[in-house]
Amino acid sequence: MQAMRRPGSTDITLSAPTLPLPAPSASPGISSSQIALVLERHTLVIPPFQLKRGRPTFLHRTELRIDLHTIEPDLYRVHAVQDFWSEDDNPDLTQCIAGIFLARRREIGTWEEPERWPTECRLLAVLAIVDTRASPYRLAPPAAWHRE
Amino acid sequence: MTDPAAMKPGPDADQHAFDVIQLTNELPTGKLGGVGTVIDGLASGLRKLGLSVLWFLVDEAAEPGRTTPFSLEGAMVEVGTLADLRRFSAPVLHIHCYEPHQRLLELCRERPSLYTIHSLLNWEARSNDIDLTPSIRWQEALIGAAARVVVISEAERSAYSALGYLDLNPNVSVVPNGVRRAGTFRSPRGTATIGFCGRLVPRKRPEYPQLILKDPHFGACRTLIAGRGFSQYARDLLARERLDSRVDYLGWCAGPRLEAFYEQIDVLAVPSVYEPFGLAALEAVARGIPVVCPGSGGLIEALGDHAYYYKDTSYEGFQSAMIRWIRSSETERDARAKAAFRHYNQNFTEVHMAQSYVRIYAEMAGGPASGGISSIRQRNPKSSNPSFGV
Repeated sequence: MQAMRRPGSTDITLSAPTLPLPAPSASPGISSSQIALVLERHTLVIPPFQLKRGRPTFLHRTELRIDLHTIEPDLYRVHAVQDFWSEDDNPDLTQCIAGIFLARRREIGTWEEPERWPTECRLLAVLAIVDTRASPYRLAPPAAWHRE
Repeated sequence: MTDPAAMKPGPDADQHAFDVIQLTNELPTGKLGGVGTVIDGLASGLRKLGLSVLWFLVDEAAEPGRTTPFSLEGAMVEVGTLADLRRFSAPVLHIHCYEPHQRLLELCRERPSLYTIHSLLNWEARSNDIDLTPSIRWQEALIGAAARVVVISEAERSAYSALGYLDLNPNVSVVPNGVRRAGTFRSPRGTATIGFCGRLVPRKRPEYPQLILKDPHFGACRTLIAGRGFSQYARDLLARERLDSRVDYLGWCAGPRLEAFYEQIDVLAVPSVYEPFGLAALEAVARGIPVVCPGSGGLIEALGDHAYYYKDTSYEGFQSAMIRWIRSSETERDARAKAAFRHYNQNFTEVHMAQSYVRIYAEMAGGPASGGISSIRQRNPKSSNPSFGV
């Protein structure tokens, strides 16, 4: 399991089987355009991906499908994170497990941070903004969103 | 409230009789971690001593017929609710739990039970500056409910006493953890890579082996961090000290990845403020890796005279011990590593741990005269002499 599912987070389902990974995107400044997120009505689909940040490559080997119906309507940032909660038995220390964290916008305008308890994972990149406040839901690259 | 009668051995329990039942609610997901490492070692040790053991993983949400998430060498592993436990019988129930479970208290009063405290939660709370009050209260209730208690070092027995827990249960023994030999003993090691292994909580001071990279003595070094749970503090430390290019966070390492970690590092830093035993330090010693740590708590018992100690838990103390390590000759590092290995091999293998527990099981079961565990061992003797060479 490479998706965060901690108290207060969204329900996340993993689809099988494992799909081939695209080439890693370079760091820093990972572009969301290099990881092709898709919105299928109310489901956010995140393909397998790998990100390079410093020495390690962070891998997410399965497609993720997040049912956005199960979370409170709001603005969310889609974060790629390093997963610190899945036991990893990969002996290649240049590879680490990646996950996805949906950060909700707080009332004061800042975003939830993956490093905070109880998620305690490490932000790698902001992939997109998803707006579920009204149908149809909207998905946009992070740079395209401005504070409303 | 569960009917206590439901927890007593059922009518068909004799068909599922064991020398001891090991019970935990820590591992139903199959994630191992520190307690899991001890359990894995104990399973191996008890098998070598010829005991029949059931490992019972408590999961109150378990569905009938659920398969076990992992196997333990030579042992039967079951997942189920506490009520399912009535299908099995043993003279002793050996408990390894942190997670509160009220019905377990009732079970302790129904069966002769031994509770191993792998960590005193009261000290965990103090050293991490967090509120664990509900878990502490539950641990205290479990201490009071168990027939006997085991702590894993003399330092822990002192801490147990200082907390007033002898009033809860005076029947406390010390059984040090044991580590199964794994990986490759390789010594001498170099001086390039500093390792840290453990949950990334304040009491373990994971910042120390990162900050040390700023010291000129360590200008050519890098640090590998293996462990669960990142934090804002860790993020900000990397950014503020500009250490991102020299520190690799490997995440929660298990199996071959943990082995690869130990293979790569040249020293293990264990700068914990509170360390009940020091399991990672012992794992390092078993592989020929020098250890730098405070000369206190369970660490000094596990490592003898063979670590690079410092007197207090300050960063300055850690820094001075690290400098002693990096300045030491290859010959000295090799001699220390070999002496530490001998200390481990003579005192802290998984068989040593299992032997200590078997003595306690036998006492609890009433000894040979009553047909307890001792008589079972006499029927099925196996070699119990651990012997490894460097």
